[in-house]
Amino acid sequence: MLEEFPETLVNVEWHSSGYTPSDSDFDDCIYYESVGACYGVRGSMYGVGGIPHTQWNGVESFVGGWGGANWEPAYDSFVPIYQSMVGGDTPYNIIINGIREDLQVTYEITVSLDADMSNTDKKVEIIVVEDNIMSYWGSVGIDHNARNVGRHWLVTEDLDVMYEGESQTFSGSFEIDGEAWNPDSVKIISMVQDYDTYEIFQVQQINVNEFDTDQDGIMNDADNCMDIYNPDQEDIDGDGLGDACDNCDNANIFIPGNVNGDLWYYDTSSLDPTVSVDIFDVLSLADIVTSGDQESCGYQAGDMTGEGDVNVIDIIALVSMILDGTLGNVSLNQAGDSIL
Amino acid sequence: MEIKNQLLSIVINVVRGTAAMKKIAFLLIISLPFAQRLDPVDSAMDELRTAVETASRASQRVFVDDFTGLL
Repeated sequence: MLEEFPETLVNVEWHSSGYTPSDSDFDDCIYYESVGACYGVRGSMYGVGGIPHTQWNGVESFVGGWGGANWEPAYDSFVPIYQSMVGGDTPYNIIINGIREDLQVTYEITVSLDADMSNTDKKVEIIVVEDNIMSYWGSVGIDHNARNVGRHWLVTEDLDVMYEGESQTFSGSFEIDGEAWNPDSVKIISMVQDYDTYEIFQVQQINVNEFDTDQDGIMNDADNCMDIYNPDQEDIDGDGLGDACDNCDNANIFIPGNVNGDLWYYDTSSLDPTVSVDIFDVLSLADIVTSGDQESCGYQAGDMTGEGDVNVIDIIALVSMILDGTLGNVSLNQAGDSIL
Repeated sequence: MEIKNQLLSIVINVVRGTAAMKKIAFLLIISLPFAQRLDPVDSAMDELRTAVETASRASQRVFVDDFTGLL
Protein backbone atom coordinates (compact mmCIF):
# COMPACT_ATOMS: atom_id res chain seq x y z
CA MET A 1 0.00 0.00 0.00
CA LEU A 2 2.87 2.39 0.72
CA GLU A 3 4.06 2.03 -2.87
CA GLU A 4 0.54 2.45 -4.16
CA PHE A 5 -0.11 5.66 -2.22
CA PRO A 6 3.35 7.18 -1.70
CA GLU A 7 2.11 10.76 -1.37
CA THR A 8 -0.71 10.20 1.05
CA LEU A 9 0.12 7.17 3.16
CA VAL A 10 2.86 7.26 5.79
CA ASN A 11 3.79 4.66 8.36
CA VAL A 12 6.21 3.94 11.15
CA GLU A 13 7.07 0.39 12.17
CA TRP A 14 7.45 0.13 15.91
CA HIS A 15 9.15 -3.16 16.68
CA SER A 16 8.41 -5.05 19.86
CA SER A 17 11.47 -6.38 21.68
CA GLY A 18 9.43 -9.44 22.61
CA TYR A 19 9.11 -10.36 18.95
CA THR A 20 12.48 -9.24 17.65
CA PRO A 21 15.52 -11.54 17.38
CA SER A 22 18.42 -10.64 19.64
CA ASP A 23 20.71 -10.08 16.67
CA SER A 24 18.37 -7.44 15.26
CA ASP A 25 18.44 -3.77 16.26
CA PHE A 26 14.87 -3.11 15.12
CA ASP A 27 13.72 -2.77 18.71
CA ASP A 28 16.46 -0.27 19.63
CA CYS A 29 14.45 2.80 18.67
CA ILE A 30 15.49 5.72 20.89
CA TYR A 31 12.76 7.73 22.61
CA TYR A 32 14.46 11.02 23.44
CA GLU A 33 17.62 9.47 25.00
CA SER A 34 16.11 6.15 26.07
CA VAL A 35 17.16 3.23 23.84
CA GLY A 36 14.44 0.69 23.09
CA ALA A 37 11.62 2.74 24.65
CA CYS A 38 9.67 3.76 21.53
CA TYR A 39 7.46 0.69 21.27
CA GLY A 40 6.41 0.90 24.91
CA VAL A 41 5.67 4.62 24.90
CA ARG A 42 3.82 4.62 21.61
CA GLY A 43 2.02 1.36 22.28
CA SER A 44 0.75 2.52 25.66
CA MET A 45 -0.96 5.48 23.98
CA TYR A 46 -3.25 3.10 22.14
CA GLY A 47 -3.33 0.25 24.64
CA VAL A 48 -1.47 -2.07 22.30
CA GLY A 49 -1.46 -5.59 23.75
CA GLY A 50 0.41 -7.47 21.05
CA ILE A 51 1.34 -7.67 17.39
CA PRO A 52 0.32 -7.14 14.71
CA HIS A 53 -1.56 -3.99 15.59
CA THR A 54 -2.08 -1.06 13.23
CA GLN A 55 -3.46 2.26 14.36
CA TRP A 56 -4.87 4.47 11.62
CA ASN A 57 -4.57 8.22 12.11
CA GLY A 58 -4.45 7.44 15.80
CA VAL A 59 -8.14 6.64 16.04
CA GLU A 60 -8.90 3.36 14.31
CA SER A 61 -7.31 0.11 15.40
CA PHE A 62 -6.87 -3.06 13.42
CA VAL A 63 -5.62 -5.90 15.56
CA GLY A 64 -4.47 -9.33 14.45
CA GLY A 65 -3.20 -10.86 11.24
CA TRP A 66 -3.24 -13.97 9.13
CA GLY A 67 -1.14 -17.10 9.42
CA GLY A 68 2.11 -17.54 7.52
CA ALA A 69 2.56 -13.77 7.12
CA ASN A 70 -0.13 -13.80 4.48
CA TRP A 71 -0.84 -10.10 4.10
CA GLU A 72 -3.21 -10.22 1.14
CA PRO A 73 -6.35 -10.24 3.27
CA ALA A 74 -4.86 -7.35 5.22
CA TYR A 75 -4.80 -5.27 2.03
CA ASP A 76 -8.50 -5.81 1.57
CA SER A 77 -9.12 -4.74 5.15
CA PHE A 78 -6.75 -1.79 5.18
CA VAL A 79 -7.72 -0.09 1.92
CA PRO A 80 -11.23 0.85 3.06
CA ILE A 81 -9.83 2.35 6.27
CA TYR A 82 -7.29 4.34 4.29
CA GLN A 83 -9.86 5.56 1.81
CA SER A 84 -12.21 6.65 4.55
CA MET A 85 -9.52 8.98 5.90
CA VAL A 86 -7.47 10.24 2.99
CA GLY A 87 -8.15 13.64 1.47
CA GLY A 88 -10.34 14.87 4.26
CA ASP A 89 -10.26 18.49 5.35
CA THR A 90 -7.55 19.41 7.79
CA PRO A 91 -6.41 22.88 8.76
CA TYR A 92 -2.79 21.81 9.14
CA ASN A 93 0.01 21.92 6.61
CA ILE A 94 3.47 20.61 7.44
CA ILE A 95 6.67 21.47 5.61
CA ILE A 96 9.88 19.67 6.57
CA ASN A 97 13.17 21.11 5.47
CA GLY A 98 16.77 21.02 6.54
CA ILE A 99 20.35 20.39 5.67
CA ARG A 100 22.31 17.18 5.82
CA GLU A 101 26.06 17.50 6.29
CA ASP A 102 27.58 14.03 6.26
CA LEU A 103 25.90 12.32 9.22
CA GLN A 104 24.66 15.49 10.88
CA VAL A 105 21.12 16.52 10.02
CA THR A 106 19.63 19.88 10.93
CA TYR A 107 15.89 20.07 10.42
CA GLU A 108 13.25 22.78 10.38
CA ILE A 109 9.58 21.80 10.51
CA THR A 110 6.93 24.42 9.89
CA VAL A 111 3.32 23.76 10.84
CA SER A 112 0.85 26.29 9.45
CA LEU A 113 -2.89 26.71 9.79
CA ASP A 114 -5.27 27.64 6.99
CA ALA A 115 -8.28 27.68 9.32
CA ASP A 116 -8.83 28.34 13.00
CA MET A 117 -8.27 25.29 15.20
CA SER A 118 -7.97 24.96 18.96
CA ASN A 119 -4.45 24.19 20.14
CA THR A 120 -5.62 22.33 23.23
CA ASP A 121 -3.72 19.04 23.57
CA LYS A 122 -2.21 19.45 20.10
CA LYS A 123 1.33 18.12 19.79
CA VAL A 124 3.86 17.84 17.01
CA GLU A 125 5.76 14.56 16.81
CA ILE A 126 9.17 14.40 15.16
CA ILE A 127 10.42 10.91 14.36
CA VAL A 128 13.47 9.60 12.49
CA VAL A 129 12.97 6.35 10.58
CA GLU A 130 14.99 4.15 8.28
CA ASP A 131 13.19 2.89 5.20
CA ASN A 132 13.59 -0.25 3.11
CA ILE A 133 15.54 -2.59 5.37
CA MET A 134 15.59 -6.13 4.04
CA SER A 135 15.27 -8.44 6.99
CA TYR A 136 14.57 -12.08 7.69
CA TRP A 137 11.27 -13.08 9.22
CA GLY A 138 12.33 -16.22 11.05
CA SER A 139 8.97 -17.70 12.07
CA VAL A 140 7.75 -17.93 8.51
CA GLY A 141 11.11 -18.16 6.75
CA ILE A 142 10.71 -15.19 4.44
CA ASP A 143 12.58 -12.01 3.72
CA HIS A 144 10.68 -8.88 4.56
CA ASN A 145 11.24 -5.34 3.35
CA ALA A 146 10.72 -3.35 6.52
CA ARG A 147 9.38 0.12 5.79
CA ASN A 148 10.03 3.19 7.94
CA VAL A 149 11.43 1.40 10.97
CA GLY A 150 11.38 3.76 13.95
CA ARG A 151 14.96 4.69 14.85
CA HIS A 152 14.75 7.82 16.95
CA TRP A 153 11.62 9.47 18.29
CA LEU A 154 13.24 12.85 18.74
CA VAL A 155 10.65 14.98 20.49
CA THR A 156 7.00 15.70 21.16
CA GLU A 157 6.43 19.46 21.07
CA ASP A 158 3.46 21.59 22.10
CA LEU A 159 1.68 23.23 19.18
CA ASP A 160 0.77 26.80 20.09
CA VAL A 161 -0.77 28.17 16.90
CA MET A 162 -4.55 28.25 16.68
CA TYR A 163 -5.61 30.92 14.17
CA GLU A 164 -5.78 30.93 10.38
CA GLY A 165 -2.54 32.10 8.83
CA GLU A 166 -0.40 31.37 11.86
CA SER A 167 2.59 29.07 11.65
CA GLN A 168 5.09 27.63 14.07
CA THR A 169 8.54 26.29 13.36
CA PHE A 170 10.31 23.52 15.20
CA SER A 171 14.00 23.08 14.61
CA GLY A 172 16.70 20.82 15.88
CA SER A 173 19.32 18.35 14.81
CA PHE A 174 20.29 14.72 15.12
CA GLU A 175 23.05 12.43 14.04
CA ILE A 176 22.63 9.50 11.72
CA ASP A 177 24.09 6.29 13.11
CA GLY A 178 26.48 5.69 10.25
CA GLU A 179 27.17 2.09 11.25
CA ALA A 180 23.69 0.82 12.06
CA TRP A 181 21.61 2.84 9.59
CA ASN A 182 21.79 3.33 5.86
CA PRO A 183 22.16 7.13 5.48
CA ASP A 184 20.49 7.01 2.06
CA SER A 185 17.26 5.71 3.58
CA VAL A 186 16.84 7.94 6.60
CA LYS A 187 13.65 9.99 6.74
CA ILE A 188 12.06 12.52 9.06
CA ILE A 189 8.37 12.04 9.76
CA SER A 190 6.35 14.70 11.52
CA MET A 191 2.70 14.79 12.47
CA VAL A 192 0.16 16.83 14.37
CA GLN A 193 -1.62 14.74 16.97
CA ASP A 194 -4.21 15.44 19.64
CA TYR A 195 -2.96 13.94 22.90
CA ASP A 196 -6.45 13.67 24.33
CA THR A 197 -8.18 11.82 21.52
CA TYR A 198 -4.92 10.69 19.82
CA GLU A 199 -6.36 11.77 16.48
CA ILE A 200 -3.70 12.60 13.91
CA PHE A 201 -4.62 15.64 11.82
CA GLN A 202 -1.75 15.74 9.38
CA VAL A 203 1.53 13.98 8.64
CA GLN A 204 4.49 14.67 6.38
CA GLN A 205 7.71 12.83 5.57
CA ILE A 206 10.94 13.54 3.72
CA ASN A 207 14.15 11.69 3.05
CA VAL A 208 17.05 13.62 4.58
CA ASN A 209 18.78 13.50 1.17
CA GLU A 210 15.88 15.25 -0.51
CA PHE A 211 15.73 18.51 1.39
CA ASP A 212 14.84 21.54 -0.71
CA THR A 213 15.74 24.43 1.56
CA ASP A 214 14.47 27.20 -0.72
CA GLN A 215 11.42 25.22 -1.90
CA ASP A 216 12.15 25.84 -5.59
CA GLY A 217 11.68 22.24 -6.64
CA ILE A 218 15.41 21.56 -6.96
CA MET A 219 16.81 19.38 -4.21
CA ASN A 220 19.74 20.80 -2.24
CA ASP A 221 22.27 18.41 -3.74
CA ALA A 222 21.50 19.69 -7.25
CA ASP A 223 20.52 23.29 -6.45
CA ASN A 224 23.00 25.95 -7.58
CA CYS A 225 21.51 28.36 -5.03
CA MET A 226 20.47 26.25 -2.07
CA ASP A 227 18.97 29.08 -0.02
CA ILE A 228 17.43 31.25 -2.75
CA TYR A 229 14.32 30.39 -4.76
CA ASN A 230 15.56 29.99 -8.36
CA PRO A 231 13.69 27.25 -10.20
CA ASP A 232 15.27 28.28 -13.53
CA GLN A 233 18.78 27.60 -12.18
CA GLU A 234 20.30 30.19 -14.52
CA ASP A 235 24.07 30.44 -14.32
CA ILE A 236 25.36 32.98 -16.81
CA ASP A 237 29.05 32.41 -16.15
CA GLY A 238 28.80 28.64 -15.76
CA ASP A 239 30.72 28.57 -12.51
CA GLY A 240 28.22 26.29 -10.77
CA LEU A 241 26.81 29.12 -8.68
CA GLY A 242 23.42 30.32 -9.89
CA ASP A 243 22.87 33.93 -10.88
CA ALA A 244 20.43 34.37 -7.99
CA CYS A 245 23.23 33.92 -5.46
CA ASP A 246 26.31 34.69 -7.57
CA ASN A 247 27.27 38.33 -7.32
CA CYS A 248 30.17 37.83 -9.65
CA ASP A 249 29.61 37.41 -13.36
CA ASN A 250 33.00 35.94 -14.18
CA ALA A 251 32.16 35.55 -17.84
CA ASN A 252 31.27 39.13 -18.69
CA ILE A 253 32.19 41.56 -15.93
CA PHE A 254 34.66 40.21 -13.44
CA ILE A 255 36.93 38.75 -16.06
CA PRO A 256 40.64 38.53 -15.14
CA GLY A 257 41.96 42.03 -14.63
CA ASN A 258 38.68 43.87 -14.23
CA VAL A 259 39.03 43.88 -10.46
CA ASN A 260 36.70 46.80 -9.81
CA GLY A 261 34.08 45.42 -12.18
CA ASP A 262 33.60 48.62 -14.12
CA LEU A 263 31.70 48.57 -17.37
CA TRP A 264 31.53 51.45 -19.82
CA TYR A 265 29.83 52.29 -23.04
CA TYR A 266 32.80 53.95 -24.72
CA ASP A 267 31.65 53.21 -28.22
CA THR A 268 28.61 55.42 -28.74
CA SER A 269 27.89 53.83 -32.10
CA SER A 270 27.24 50.51 -30.43
CA LEU A 271 25.19 49.35 -27.48
CA ASP A 272 27.88 46.83 -26.58
CA PRO A 273 29.40 47.60 -23.20
CA THR A 274 33.14 47.50 -22.71
CA VAL A 275 35.06 46.12 -19.78
CA SER A 276 37.81 48.51 -18.83
CA VAL A 277 41.07 47.32 -17.26
CA ASP A 278 43.14 50.25 -16.07
CA ILE A 279 44.97 51.84 -13.16
CA PHE A 280 41.80 51.82 -11.05
CA ASP A 281 41.82 48.02 -11.21
CA VAL A 282 45.40 48.03 -9.96
CA LEU A 283 44.40 50.22 -7.04
CA SER A 284 41.43 48.00 -6.26
CA LEU A 285 43.63 44.92 -6.37
CA ALA A 286 46.10 46.58 -4.02
CA ASP A 287 43.22 47.23 -1.61
CA ILE A 288 42.15 43.60 -1.80
CA VAL A 289 45.67 42.32 -1.12
CA THR A 290 46.27 44.66 1.80
CA SER A 291 42.85 44.08 3.38
CA GLY A 292 43.00 40.30 2.99
CA ASP A 293 39.56 40.32 1.40
CA GLN A 294 38.83 36.92 -0.17
CA GLU A 295 35.10 37.19 -0.63
CA SER A 296 34.70 39.95 -3.19
CA CYS A 297 34.28 39.50 -6.92
CA GLY A 298 37.46 41.51 -7.32
CA TYR A 299 39.35 38.74 -5.56
CA GLN A 300 38.27 36.29 -8.24
CA ALA A 301 39.09 38.71 -11.04
CA GLY A 302 42.40 39.62 -9.48
CA ASP A 303 44.01 36.21 -9.60
CA MET A 304 46.13 37.14 -12.61
CA THR A 305 48.57 34.29 -12.21
CA GLY A 306 45.80 31.74 -11.84
CA GLU A 307 47.39 30.15 -8.81
CA GLY A 308 44.22 30.31 -6.71
CA ASP A 309 45.60 33.00 -4.43
CA VAL A 310 45.73 36.78 -4.75
CA ASN A 311 48.91 38.53 -3.65
CA VAL A 312 51.46 41.15 -4.67
CA ILE A 313 52.59 38.99 -7.60
CA ASP A 314 49.14 39.43 -9.10
CA ILE A 315 49.45 43.22 -8.77
CA ILE A 316 52.78 43.13 -10.61
CA ALA A 317 51.30 40.84 -13.25
CA LEU A 318 48.32 43.14 -13.74
CA VAL A 319 50.50 46.25 -14.08
CA SER A 320 52.72 44.41 -16.51
CA MET A 321 49.82 43.29 -18.63
CA ILE A 322 48.34 46.79 -18.78
CA LEU A 323 51.68 48.30 -19.77
CA ASP A 324 52.22 45.58 -22.37
CA GLY A 325 48.78 46.13 -23.75
CA THR A 326 47.94 42.50 -23.15
CA LEU A 327 44.80 43.65 -21.40
CA GLY A 328 42.73 46.59 -22.34
CA ASN A 329 39.22 47.42 -23.26
CA VAL A 330 37.34 44.25 -24.00
CA SER A 331 34.10 44.56 -25.91
CA LEU A 332 31.30 42.26 -24.87
CA ASN A 333 29.24 40.36 -27.33
CA GLN A 334 25.79 41.50 -26.44
CA ALA A 335 24.47 44.47 -24.59
CA GLY A 336 22.99 43.61 -21.24
CA ASP A 337 24.47 40.11 -21.13
CA SER A 338 26.56 41.00 -18.20
CA ILE A 339 23.89 42.52 -16.01
CA LEU A 340 22.80 40.02 -13.41
CA MET B 1 28.45 71.43 11.36
CA GLU B 2 31.69 69.54 10.84
CA ILE B 3 29.97 66.96 8.61
CA LYS B 4 28.38 69.76 6.61
CA ASN B 5 31.79 71.29 6.03
CA GLN B 6 33.23 67.95 4.99
CA LEU B 7 30.44 67.37 2.48
CA LEU B 8 30.97 70.86 1.11
CA SER B 9 34.66 70.15 0.81
CA ILE B 10 33.94 66.93 -1.11
CA VAL B 11 31.63 68.73 -3.52
CA ILE B 12 34.25 71.47 -4.12
CA ASN B 13 36.95 68.83 -4.70
CA VAL B 14 34.74 66.99 -7.16
CA VAL B 15 34.01 70.16 -9.09
CA ARG B 16 37.68 71.02 -9.18
CA GLY B 17 38.74 67.42 -9.60
CA THR B 18 39.85 65.22 -12.44
CA ALA B 19 37.66 63.69 -15.11
CA ALA B 20 37.83 60.36 -13.32
CA MET B 21 36.57 61.86 -10.10
CA LYS B 22 33.71 63.50 -11.96
CA LYS B 23 32.91 60.17 -13.51
CA ILE B 24 32.80 58.50 -10.10
CA ALA B 25 30.66 61.28 -8.65
CA PHE B 26 28.29 61.09 -11.60
CA LEU B 27 27.88 57.33 -11.14
CA LEU B 28 27.33 57.78 -7.43
CA ILE B 29 24.61 60.35 -8.00
CA ILE B 30 22.75 58.45 -10.70
CA SER B 31 22.86 55.24 -8.65
CA LEU B 32 21.00 56.79 -5.70
CA PRO B 33 17.46 56.76 -7.18
CA PHE B 34 17.82 53.08 -8.04
CA ALA B 35 19.37 51.89 -4.82
CA GLN B 36 16.19 50.66 -3.14
CA ARG B 37 14.26 49.57 -6.19
CA LEU B 38 12.38 46.29 -5.67
CA ASP B 39 12.31 43.67 -8.37
CA PRO B 40 8.64 43.32 -9.43
CA VAL B 41 9.31 39.86 -10.87
CA ASP B 42 10.51 38.55 -7.50
CA SER B 43 7.46 39.99 -5.76
CA ALA B 44 5.14 38.38 -8.30
CA MET B 45 6.89 35.03 -7.86
CA ASP B 46 6.52 35.24 -4.09
CA GLU B 47 2.80 35.96 -4.42
CA LEU B 48 2.36 33.08 -6.84
CA ARG B 49 4.26 30.76 -4.55
CA THR B 50 2.11 31.72 -1.57
CA ALA B 51 -1.04 31.17 -3.62
CA VAL B 52 0.09 27.70 -4.73
CA GLU B 53 1.09 26.70 -1.22
CA THR B 54 -2.24 27.86 0.15
CA ALA B 55 -4.16 26.02 -2.57
CA SER B 56 -2.33 22.78 -1.82
CA ARG B 57 -3.30 22.75 1.84
CA ALA B 58 -6.12 21.08 3.69
CA SER B 59 -5.69 17.60 2.29
CA GLN B 60 -5.43 14.92 4.94
CA ARG B 61 -2.76 12.25 4.62
CA VAL B 62 -3.05 8.99 6.50
CA PHE B 63 -0.61 7.83 9.15
CA VAL B 64 -0.32 4.26 10.33
CA ASP B 65 1.36 3.25 13.57
CA ASP B 66 2.43 -0.29 12.72
CA PHE B 67 3.24 -2.29 15.84
CA THR B 68 5.08 -5.36 14.67
CA GLY B 69 8.06 -7.68 15.06
CA LEU B 70 10.34 -10.00 13.14
CA LEU B 71 9.66 -13.39 14.73
